[in-house]
Amino acid sequence: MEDWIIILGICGIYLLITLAMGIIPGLKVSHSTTGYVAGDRSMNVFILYFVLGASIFSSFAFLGGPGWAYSRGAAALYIIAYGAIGMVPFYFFGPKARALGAKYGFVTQAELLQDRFNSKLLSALLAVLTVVVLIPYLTLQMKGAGLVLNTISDGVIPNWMGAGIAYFVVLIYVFYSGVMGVGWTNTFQGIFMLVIAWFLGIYLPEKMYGGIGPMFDELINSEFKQALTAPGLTSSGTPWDWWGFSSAVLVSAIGFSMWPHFFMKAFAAKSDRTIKLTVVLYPTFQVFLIPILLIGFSAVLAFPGVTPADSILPHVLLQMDLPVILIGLVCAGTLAASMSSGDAIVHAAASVGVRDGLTKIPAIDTWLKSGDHERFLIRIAVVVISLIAYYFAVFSETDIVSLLLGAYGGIAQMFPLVFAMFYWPRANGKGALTGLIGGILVTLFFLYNPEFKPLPMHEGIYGLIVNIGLLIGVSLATKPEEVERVKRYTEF
Amino acid sequence: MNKEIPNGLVFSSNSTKRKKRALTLVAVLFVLQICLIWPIYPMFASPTPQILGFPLSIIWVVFILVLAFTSVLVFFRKDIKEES
Repeated sequence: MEDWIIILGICGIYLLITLAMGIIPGLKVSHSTTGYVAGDRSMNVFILYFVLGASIFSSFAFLGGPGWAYSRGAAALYIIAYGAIGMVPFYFFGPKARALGAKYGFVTQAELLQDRFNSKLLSALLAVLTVVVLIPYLTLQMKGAGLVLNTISDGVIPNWMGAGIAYFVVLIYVFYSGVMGVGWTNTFQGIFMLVIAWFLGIYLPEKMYGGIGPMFDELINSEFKQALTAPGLTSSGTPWDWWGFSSAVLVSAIGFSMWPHFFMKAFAAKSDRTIKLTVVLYPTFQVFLIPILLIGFSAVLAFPGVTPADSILPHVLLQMDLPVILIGLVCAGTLAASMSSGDAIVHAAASVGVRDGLTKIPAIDTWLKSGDHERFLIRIAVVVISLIAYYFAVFSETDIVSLLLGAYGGIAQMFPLVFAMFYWPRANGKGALTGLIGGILVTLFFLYNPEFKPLPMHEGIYGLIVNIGLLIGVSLATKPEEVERVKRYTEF
Repeated sequence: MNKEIPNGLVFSSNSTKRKKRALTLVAVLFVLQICLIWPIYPMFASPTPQILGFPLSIIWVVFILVLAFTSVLVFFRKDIKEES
């Protein structure tokens, strides 16, 4: 039997297990919107830990992480540097959001912000921002799945089919089970990814150099020493400057807990303690990036000049004489990384798009209120959003990566609003709206016109400065929201 | 009505002790985050010396990650003790 058939067989078994694990929990939750979007607020620490961990560690981590280590050296540490603290705001925001969600029936972060700032426009704006930001993110996950199946099948499975097969499975369980399908599959996928990553991160340096220490000895004695000096290299191979590195870390740390598919899980958590303990344990997932980076470092001297750098993991697998079962497991692990982010993203984008976007259109809102149509509409949105992302992943030539880079700066703009929601009673709707719009516009301006930046910092920092300035200035210059409303969020 | 809403930040907490602890945690984490960017990280940016086989530039980030984990863990344990 040809090797690629065995490898695909392993991936097939993995997909079947994932499908089963995604469907079964859907049998237990209620047929309500709360059941579909927030799992009847019943997630325990074990599941929440893997949902949050596995949703963040996506194709970008599994394919992009080794690619960054391989081509940019210490620059790849930026992913760990922002995650160390980035999750902590969730320790404080999460329980507050959960309590308000349980009391008033909220299941998305935009619903909270809309209520606190008394602005439907803000909610609609956040819905648009969320969908616009999440679609390119989902597209990248699909591309990753297509790339893996295409590479290991020696091109027999084209990209469109690979992405199609993996995401058809995702579509079925997200459509059927909602967030609990995402939860259980992410737990399975998370454990699977951790095992594969640690195994490869230790095995490859051992096999090629006789261990991690000897590998770094050789790298430090080579031209790669420059790349191993923080903050590493830029994508063009020149040394990265500290302005760029530091500001990218800060923007990502600020935006980390604001990702809608991430923040929304506060509403799915069973208790405050669940959220807090998940935050505490999160760095244990973060450490999982170390072996991922070791995979990339191990290939530097053995396989120079591989382009694009993101293909280094499949490249190493094919070039080295590895057991075919192992290659199959690694490919399934990469699919797991792609799907465990993709499912949470499509679920969040559909939920937010409907709850915070479409319900603001009066005709749709009336129809939704006339019967139990909301869950149905979110399910339709799951299908539509998957198809749009699939189109971009397979047929469109649009430069998705640049969209995604802008997305991080955009997401970070939610932070001042969420912070002010809970801790600054004087903040009002006008301030929140102008702050958010101003922050996003400035971020976009510097993203597309970097030559105008006064300092070579991440565009999101400029956005945040303008955002905070407008939020404070406009709020103080206009009337506050009514006391009762503000008191629900802050205790003064 | 305007006078009822304070102009400053309000960190509500039933216990002043917890409020102090939370602010201390934020301060500690702020310092740890600075350790991972300019101006502290450049002092540990070199790949040498190697520690446990890893370059200093990598082990420093792992070290800070462990410190961040420990400080949040300590805070959590006190939080839970107080709740119960």
